[in-house]
Amino acid sequence: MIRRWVAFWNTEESATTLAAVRVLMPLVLLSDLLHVWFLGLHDVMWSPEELGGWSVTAIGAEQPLFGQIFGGTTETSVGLFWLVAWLCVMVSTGTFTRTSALMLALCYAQLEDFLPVADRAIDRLYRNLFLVLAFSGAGKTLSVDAWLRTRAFRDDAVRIGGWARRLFILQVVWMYFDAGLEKGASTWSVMGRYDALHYILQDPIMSRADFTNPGALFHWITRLGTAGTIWWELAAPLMLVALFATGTGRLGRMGRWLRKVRFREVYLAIGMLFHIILWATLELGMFPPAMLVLYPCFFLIGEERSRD
Amino acid sequence: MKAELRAGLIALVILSQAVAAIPNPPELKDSALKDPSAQAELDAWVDNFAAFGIEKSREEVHALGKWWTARLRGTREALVWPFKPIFQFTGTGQGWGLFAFPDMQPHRFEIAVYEDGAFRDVYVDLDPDADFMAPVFAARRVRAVYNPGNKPPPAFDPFTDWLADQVFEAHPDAEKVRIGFRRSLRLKSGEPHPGYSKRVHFTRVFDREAP
Repeated sequence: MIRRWVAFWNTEESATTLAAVRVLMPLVLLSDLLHVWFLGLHDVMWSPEELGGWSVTAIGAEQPLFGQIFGGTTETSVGLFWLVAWLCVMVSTGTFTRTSALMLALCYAQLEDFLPVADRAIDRLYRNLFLVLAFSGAGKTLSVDAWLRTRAFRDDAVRIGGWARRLFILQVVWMYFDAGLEKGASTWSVMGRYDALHYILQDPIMSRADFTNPGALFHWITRLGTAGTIWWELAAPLMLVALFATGTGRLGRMGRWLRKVRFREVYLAIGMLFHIILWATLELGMFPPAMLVLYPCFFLIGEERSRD
Repeated sequence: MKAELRAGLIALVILSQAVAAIPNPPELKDSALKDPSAQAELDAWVDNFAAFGIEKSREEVHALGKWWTARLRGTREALVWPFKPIFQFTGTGQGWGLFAFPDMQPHRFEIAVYEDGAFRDVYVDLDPDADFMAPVFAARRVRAVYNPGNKPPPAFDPFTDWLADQVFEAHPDAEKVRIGFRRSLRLKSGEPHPGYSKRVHFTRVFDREAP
């Protein structure tokens, strides 16, 4: 059992897939931060309440570590904001990738401490993944680090441990599955007539458009959407089975069936549709693109092989 | 040896994240019995029990839910405890309750200015005729600062202090600014939108002359 566990995490693969994700993830976060800057909010959002900002934690007993070191001032929070933005550039370009990714995760966490309520699920997910990136070797290609080493930005020959991409997959699958598990309201089930999306779209703070009184057809579409969402989320663990079956050719009839129906491709295509509809109907900020840029993780370029 | 160490560390990370992933349902308070959305939810569970031949009242379902959520929260808290400092320092964790409990009485954000003896709306959610600073309120981080559940978020007061200044600056004739929410009357499946409360909730009124 232990030997199989060690062997499972002791593989190597081309660095290109994870490097591509490493390039894209910080760009999504950077665009989110630049949007805050474009709205003229970067100097108030995380600044202390006492100085006209919105943060109730920037000064006082709950002061974040960054504030304790540099002082609870507007300059401190603005400095942290630009530091996170700069680290996004560093990670995306693959410049001192390990250190930059580690610093990005930690500074991003400090930004959360200044205004916890503005930190959403997708921010936590990204911090989880930036920490994995920091130890992954994803900066070995498509990066300044590669150029410094080989005088070429791209190094297709370089291989890294497969464990990091596997953790990415595990995280994304778990997130979808748990999102399904935690949907405890009856309106996500047949006993609540699958009305959840019907109600969510009528929340004027969340919605992009006025969906009040859209008619019976729209109501049925939202019911279909609700049922589709919850079952799609709950089906996420099958992705692990499908990937295992594809990778090893094992798992019997179920694995063969999942491979035959191209479960991975179908599941991710539905996911893309799901996120595009979410983006079109609800004000969710970076959430839809932030999830979509993780999808390349499910596709490996080249072969994976054991290090044993 | 390196492979064994890596596999061990990954096991530890997955274990800590698995603990963090234990569902953390919101505390079920007695006040839920008075909330129409919670009442509807409890009634749905009463029907669900009845479908299996188990007769339970709304109060009994509430008591049962309260007992289970308290146990689950307590167990999770105890298991997460050793990892909590790391989770807090790194801002990491699990638990992905996305739209878990849709609000059947959502709030509508409104800003009004007092001019010529009456309040006039300058911002109402999704109203193209009252869209002052609309892109700001739509931003995901900003929405989290003002979007209320049972009460406004902790940063609501400093946010509205700042917002009032912006409104006064853009509306030089405004004597007062009122910021608040109207709550939707209870939404019902397949029925037309019932409209909003006359009362403005969580209201803050700012006077230009106030120090």
